[in-house]
Amino acid sequence: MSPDPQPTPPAPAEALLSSALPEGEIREGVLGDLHELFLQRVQNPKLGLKAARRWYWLQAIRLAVRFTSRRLRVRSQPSAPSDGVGALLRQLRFSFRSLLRSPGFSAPALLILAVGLTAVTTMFTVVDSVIFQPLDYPESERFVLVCEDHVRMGGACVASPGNAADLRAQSRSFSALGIGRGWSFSITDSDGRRGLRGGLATGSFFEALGVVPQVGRLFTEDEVGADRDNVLILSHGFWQDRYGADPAILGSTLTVEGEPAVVIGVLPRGFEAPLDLNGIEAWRPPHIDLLDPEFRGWRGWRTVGRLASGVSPESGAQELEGLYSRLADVHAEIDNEWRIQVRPLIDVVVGDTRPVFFAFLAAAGLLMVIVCANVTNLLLARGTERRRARSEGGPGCRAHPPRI
Amino acid sequence: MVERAYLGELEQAVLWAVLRLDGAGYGASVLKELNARVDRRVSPGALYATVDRLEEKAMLESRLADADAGRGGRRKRYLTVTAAGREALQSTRQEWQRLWGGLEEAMGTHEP
Repeated sequence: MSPDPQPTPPAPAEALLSSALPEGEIREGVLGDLHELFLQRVQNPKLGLKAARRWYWLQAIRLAVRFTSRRLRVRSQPSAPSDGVGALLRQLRFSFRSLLRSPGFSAPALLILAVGLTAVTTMFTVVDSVIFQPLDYPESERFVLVCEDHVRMGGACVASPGNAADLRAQSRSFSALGIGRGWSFSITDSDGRRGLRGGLATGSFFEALGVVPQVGRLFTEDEVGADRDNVLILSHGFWQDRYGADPAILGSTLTVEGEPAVVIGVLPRGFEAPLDLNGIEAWRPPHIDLLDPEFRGWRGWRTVGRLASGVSPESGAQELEGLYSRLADVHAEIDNEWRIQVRPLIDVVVGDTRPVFFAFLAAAGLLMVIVCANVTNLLLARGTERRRARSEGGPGCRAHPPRI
Repeated sequence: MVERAYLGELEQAVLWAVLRLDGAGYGASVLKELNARVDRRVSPGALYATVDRLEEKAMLESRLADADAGRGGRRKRYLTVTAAGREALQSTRQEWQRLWGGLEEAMGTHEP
């Protein structure tokens, strides 16, 4: 029977250490020393193989860190001879060693910091995306909703096509002002008939949103109205899913609700109209004459506007209030219970949820304060323990001269 | 003017252990000597860092021996204290002695 093979240090730890050590004498000597010390520990009945393996891992990691940081320091010397880099590396090495030396302190401290930082980062990311950068439109700070609100509706944001058209014609504060609404319809093409989530909008609606079609063009004013609305703009998603993003679709004729309609454009990838107009797959121009008195009271539309350069929402609102009161003199259906408002889109999108998000952000900040206080407590406790150890001459005490 | 070499506590201890082992000092044996005779646990990492510093100061030099089965076939790296190392250790010892000179009585350790 052959004798039991001699135990060997954990191979991954040895490989880690070997890769960190410089080639030559030092690698040979260090690996041999650790092997020898490992075997001594295995043979020690108080320690055994498991403890020896643990010890080897610990030493391998410590030495790998030490030799790697030394190598980095040496490398950094020719290009950056300043003391700054060397001091930083020394500090990093010292910090890392201190952490390894006292896992009872570093583990809870790192855990507390990790929890706190994760919570704060997550909360800030949410608030940042919802409150600070919620609108994916170019120059979205100039983008407003022009809302007609009735005193008994409280906070409504609706618009009549006729009023919007009059305001657009007379206002100087807006570079673009247009209307849109959801209006489902069906199309028929070579693949058959399909109902889709459709919408109606003027070309200026898209201009106000800063949209430039990926291919083709937007609706013109001449295409608004009955029997003139035989054109179609597709969303990028619908174009991709239904027609495989084929550019040849431009100019082709589809059947919309039994009538022919020519595809004149495709909106850019990722574009979504705001609020309830989100997710619309294809757009047509309004099939009504916007100034037709019959539709003056049809407040089933959204009006979006882009403030002219240098015009604030307040001054834009002031101008529209004046124009709206003059419209009320002409159109009886605008009674004194209707009012016009200009609301930055951000306020409408975020609305009442803004204080809630700020409360969450404040709570996350408070959590960070608690995290810092806890880590400070741990540091203070460790400092107190060290002072006590020194005053008692314990293991924390370094004696001078050496006790040889 | 020649700059006087300063020796830290562990540097003194390592030089002392290598001298004591008299040519048989290599990493593991120096570590064993230090842990047995110095009232302080010394880790391999601390030892190699100190040896590294002493080699940079030209106070220690090394040579490789033959491969050893008890070391996984690795060779021992024997250490020797150079003349500069002996001189530095001696001058440090004298300095400490001067520092302590005449304090035995005050410390209550004076032997009549």
